[in-house]
Amino acid sequence: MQTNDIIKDISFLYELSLSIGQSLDLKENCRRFLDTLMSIKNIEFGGVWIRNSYISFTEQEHGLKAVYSHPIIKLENCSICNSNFIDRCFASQNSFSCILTQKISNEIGFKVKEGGAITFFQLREIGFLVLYSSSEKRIWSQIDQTKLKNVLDKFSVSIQACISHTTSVQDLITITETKKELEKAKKEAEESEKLKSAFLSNISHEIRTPINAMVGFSNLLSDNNLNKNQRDGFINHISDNGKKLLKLINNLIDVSKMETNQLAIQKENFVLNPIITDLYKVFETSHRLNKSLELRLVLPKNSEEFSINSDKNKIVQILENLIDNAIKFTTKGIIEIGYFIEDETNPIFYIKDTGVGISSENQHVIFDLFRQGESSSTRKFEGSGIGLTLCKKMVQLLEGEIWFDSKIEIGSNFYFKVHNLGQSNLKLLRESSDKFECRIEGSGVKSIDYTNRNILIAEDVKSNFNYLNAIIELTDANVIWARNGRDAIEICQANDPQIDLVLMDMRMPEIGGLDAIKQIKAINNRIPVIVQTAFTFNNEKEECFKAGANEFITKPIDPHKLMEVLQKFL
Amino acid sequence: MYLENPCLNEILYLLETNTFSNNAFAFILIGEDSKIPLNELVNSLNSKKIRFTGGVFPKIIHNNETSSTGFVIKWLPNNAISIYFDSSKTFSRQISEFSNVIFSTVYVLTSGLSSDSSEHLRSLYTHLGNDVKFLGGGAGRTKKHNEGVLISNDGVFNTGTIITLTRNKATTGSLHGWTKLYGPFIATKTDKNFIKELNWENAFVVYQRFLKTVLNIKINKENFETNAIHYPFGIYKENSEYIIRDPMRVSEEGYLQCVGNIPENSVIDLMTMEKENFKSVSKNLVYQSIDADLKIADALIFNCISRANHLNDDFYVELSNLTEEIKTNQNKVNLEGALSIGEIYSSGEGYPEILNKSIVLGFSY
Repeated sequence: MQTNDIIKDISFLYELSLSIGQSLDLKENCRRFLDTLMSIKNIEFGGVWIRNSYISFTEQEHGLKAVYSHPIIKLENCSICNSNFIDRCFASQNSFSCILTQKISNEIGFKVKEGGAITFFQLREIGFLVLYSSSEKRIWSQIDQTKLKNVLDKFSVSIQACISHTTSVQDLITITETKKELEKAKKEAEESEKLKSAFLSNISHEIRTPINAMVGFSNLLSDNNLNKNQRDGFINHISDNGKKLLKLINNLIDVSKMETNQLAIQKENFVLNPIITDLYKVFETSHRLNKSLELRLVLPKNSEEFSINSDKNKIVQILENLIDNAIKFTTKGIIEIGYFIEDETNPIFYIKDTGVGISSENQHVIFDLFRQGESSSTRKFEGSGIGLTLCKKMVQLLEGEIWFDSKIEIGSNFYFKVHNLGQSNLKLLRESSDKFECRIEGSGVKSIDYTNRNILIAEDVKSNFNYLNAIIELTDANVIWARNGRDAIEICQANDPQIDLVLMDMRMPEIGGLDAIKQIKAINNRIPVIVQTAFTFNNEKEECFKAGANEFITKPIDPHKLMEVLQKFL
Repeated sequence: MYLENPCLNEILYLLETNTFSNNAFAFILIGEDSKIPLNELVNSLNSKKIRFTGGVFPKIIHNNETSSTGFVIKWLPNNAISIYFDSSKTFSRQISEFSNVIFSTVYVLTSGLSSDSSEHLRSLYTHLGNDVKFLGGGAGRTKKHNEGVLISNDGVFNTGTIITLTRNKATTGSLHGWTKLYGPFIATKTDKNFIKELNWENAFVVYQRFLKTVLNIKINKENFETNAIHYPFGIYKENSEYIIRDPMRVSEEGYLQCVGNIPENSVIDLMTMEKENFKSVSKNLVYQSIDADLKIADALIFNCISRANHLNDDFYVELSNLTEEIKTNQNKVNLEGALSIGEIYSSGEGYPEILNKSIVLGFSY
């Protein structure tokens, strides 16, 4: 062999060796190696096949897969399902070079069927490498094949390193994820433990308080010198605390059933109004002494006969808990209890209060078991912390949903709806609706024509919007619905269509009514904005006017009143 | 068709009155001193609904002459498809739309001095393989100019690659005649088309030292281009000529900028051209490229600008020999093409690379 030839070989093997292991990415590693090999040897195709058993996260156990090939156009199929042929070829040799036959072509999924020179090199036990030239003169001599052996062994090891690296990275990802999950679970368990401890200390306080009162007043009753008024007062105290205790114990039993999925539902047809009215009366009577808190009941018009098919006791229990909560967190102002009817059949119950509200940080946990908006030891509000959890679970059992909106120092609105199987309501409602239309017609509303006028209703509660829409549609006005303050501002800003009047709710997500009024007035001061709200504090009214509102109407909205206001501004 | 310093209207008239109804796709090679603004040319051709691709080159070849203001227009079949791409990803997406079409020849025009041209050629080969013959060159200018260097119906481009795929068969060949003078050197540090280190030292320092001690040629950064043109590098390739890498420029850091990539750790030699080799190139190339059994319809040449600069007057002798050789086979065929910055070819055998200091010749029948 000439010195020049030896230099050529050494140069070739040097370049090839240094092209190995430049990347731990399998494809990149193969690419760098094969690019060098193909370029120097002037070869038209190169590919690397690896046994599936060596490839991480593959479903196939047997056969081989082409993990890299260049040009890709040369392969019809990247998988070799049955490796018998390849295994036989490499049984007695590490490499071989021959003219491409149809048999070989089919076995490796090669597009070229016959002709040209194909050379196979075994990559240890992990797979093989194929080189192809269209010229049949390019069959590799045995000595040329042998020259490559050491470098190819090194290449095989680099492939194994790439595969191990991929597996390690995947394992590391899995370990990190598992660690994160475990940490999360641990944190949740610790928190749950903490909450349970808080709950136990809390509940013992909640049980002891009425029992203390009952025992205390029972002892006092044994005094023979009591007059009738004193005696009656003591008996009332004992009775009230007994009821309180009973309610607490019922809730506790339900929570226990809830945890073990034993909370059952019993559906029946029942008329809604008497139940809500009774509930209202009970709470109204027991809180009559608190002069700064007004309890208000709002029922839909013509709903006297409105009935639903659901679990009456559960609905009462949900309402009781929500009203209890509202009373607990509202020292002055209004608590409004009521419901709307959505899509003619589904009642949406609500309890609105002007209480302390729930901070945005606490809003996502208030339905969690043993939680209260405020959970510190110096908390101002009593309660077991199971009421809202119970409400949510019961609403879910009744195939409904519960939601709320709340703002600190403004108050909270809780809504829930349940799945109603009742069909008879439709007729009743239609009758009611007809009556409603007749009433409206009688009042001359239908003679008002607001064709081509655009009225924007900013209202987050769909049923409230439906109600207002039903009234306004009778005037042929074009009604546009904004689901929050931000949308209302954007619609007014776009001015397409030009808005002639805005009916603005006060409590809405994203941007509230007050801010929305200010911004709308800043955009176009000439658009009349009518506030429609359930909250009727004088200072709120003043704030609305200060923000730029033109009129103020309170919910429930009377159609006549609404028409009067519309006529005033349109 | 060759035009010397034509005006826009002349070109438009000729393109509009093309009589080859089956070959209405224009492949246009433009000399860098042409005064026709490329944007205006593209807009005018688009308004006339003429499909085309093209590029700007240092000079245009017409038989045994060259001109920096000349135009060459070649008519390709109506069903030719053009693709512009500036990344492998873009090309992969675009070519996948034609996966059912069998192409035979692809005319490749790439931005000659771009560091991505080798990668673009690799992308072409990945998706087209060696069933398709490649023929083309690196477009570009030797003088500073703000306009782009590649054109198609999609606009004017400064970088990237434009290919024109046809189903018509062509035969191609390439030769340069350079042989090893001295070596090996190891390109120990490279970045695409830049050689940063040779034998673990600054590339320019090693190159400068070698020329001084072995050939007694003093080079510095100022006279680099004039001298380096005669001493290119060669990458060894089995069963083929060396792949020449022309050091076109030297950077401030002493990096040698070539046309086409130099793989890191590649073993390279310094090349020279012997007079005997030069003489035989024309005859051998035509013999290698032509299918003597068929009647030639047209010929297209991409000849390296630095080859012309290296050979000086001999270059025109070589061009004349080539023209004569072709006319011996087919008297009516003119040798037309461009002086390019890098040449591209694949005959269907071997692994295609960007070439330097080479002649690429293609024939259609």
